[in-house]
Amino acid sequence: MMEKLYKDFKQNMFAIHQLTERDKKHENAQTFLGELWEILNPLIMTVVMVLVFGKMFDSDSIKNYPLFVLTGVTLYNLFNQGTTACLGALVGNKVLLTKTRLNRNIYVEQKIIYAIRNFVFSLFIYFIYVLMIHQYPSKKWLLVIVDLVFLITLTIGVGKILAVMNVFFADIVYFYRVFTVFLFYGSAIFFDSERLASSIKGIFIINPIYDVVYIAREIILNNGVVAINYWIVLFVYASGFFIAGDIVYKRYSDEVVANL
Amino acid sequence: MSRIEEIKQYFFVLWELTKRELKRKYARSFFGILWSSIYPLFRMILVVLLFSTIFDKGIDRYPAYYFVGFLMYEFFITATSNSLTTLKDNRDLLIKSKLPRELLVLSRVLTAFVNFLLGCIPFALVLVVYDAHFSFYYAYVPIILILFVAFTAGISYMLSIWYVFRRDARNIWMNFTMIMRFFIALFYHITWVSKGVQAFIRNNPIYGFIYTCRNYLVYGEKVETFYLWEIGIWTGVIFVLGFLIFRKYENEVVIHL
Repeated sequence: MMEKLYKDFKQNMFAIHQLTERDKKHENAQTFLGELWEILNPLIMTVVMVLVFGKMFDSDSIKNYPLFVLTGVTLYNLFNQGTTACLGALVGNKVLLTKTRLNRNIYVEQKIIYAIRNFVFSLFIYFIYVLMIHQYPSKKWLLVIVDLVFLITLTIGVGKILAVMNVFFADIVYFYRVFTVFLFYGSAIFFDSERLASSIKGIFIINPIYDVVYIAREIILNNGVVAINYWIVLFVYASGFFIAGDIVYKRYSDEVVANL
Repeated sequence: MSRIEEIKQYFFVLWELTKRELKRKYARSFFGILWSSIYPLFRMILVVLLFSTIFDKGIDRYPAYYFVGFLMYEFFITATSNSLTTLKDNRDLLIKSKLPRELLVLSRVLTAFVNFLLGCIPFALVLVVYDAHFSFYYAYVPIILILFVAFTAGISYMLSIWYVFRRDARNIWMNFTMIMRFFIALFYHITWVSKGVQAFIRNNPIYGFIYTCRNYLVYGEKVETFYLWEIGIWTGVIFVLGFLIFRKYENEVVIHL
């Protein structure tokens, strides 16, 4: 039993590795520069934001504006890159889907793993910066790991739904790109939501990405305690999307193959 | 064939190609042409909601202020990023016909411009609602816009050639324009950033175009001659340079397609 599980796992990992290598060779896909960009993106965006908004939010409540932005962008990027890559998980694997009997979850998993890999590289940069400004990790930071697990769970769920939707409705690529722009603004990446009018302020909590960012910031920047409702909302979204994504993906994957 | 006939034919072909692009663009999209008008409005509402409360300093007639810049920059991005792939997309046409090749690039720029004009419909409404200062400066706006199209066309020529040689040109350009978005004072006022960034924004020709149109359309004010020179010189240089580069490489490129 264990042996079979291990063999399956090894086989799947091999397939994932092969898919990633193929993605790299694909004409429109990643070049070295593109990969480097994905890793450096949070840092570059932070520099841009600090240059542009640094003076505006200078004397404000935000304690460490660069770290504030860097935290937000790094987390947002994981979700954005992961879900956007998933859009092509089924559509981009037509031949394999119809001709092989690979576990279909692999196509989504491969995209997510690739996004996580980039995220881990970005984390190195993040920690270098954190150490540079003498913001030393405390035990509380372990809670950020829980936060990350929720984020990844959410990304997988949303990614699966997007992968299926893209088969039936190709416009989704365009709409999703627009949506992520809105999401970027709606996650309070470069401004403090506390400053907003109270009527809008309350809306932010229903955005799970905002919750992820908020929790991480509270812990890392303020060493504070996060109100339980943020955790609850995030948990509901993460588990909800994960289960919904799984059901949609399982239910439609046969139809999807027929449709491709 | 007389010279006039030739020019007439040139524009006829350009228009036919543009129509083809437009049909293609809207055939695939669910909401079709309507989207071109509605989307800018959505963006404006979002930005106004957010920023009118974050930036308590306030900008006079903020929705109109934002809308001009947004529409113009969106045109620039759409035109350039679509032109980027022109030569590859039209491989067959390039090899099999004797069409002047720059027409293919121009038709994509024009397609984006038509899209821009559709976005201007809700913009006109916003101008009225927010009581823009209507003045004789409106007469200058078409001239500025024509220059802006020429500037964009110049960049598009260069990009279309670049893409043939570098397969990640599209990615690089998308990221570049995304960063540039923050350096054209689109949703904030230029005086709110530090002196160094201010100087950078001032010397950015795209800011020059947006600033000029904004002043003419929303505030009915004249602009400093610096910006007019900036616009004029950049347009001239970029358009000529782009065209020359395109002419120089257009034949060589066909081999690489």
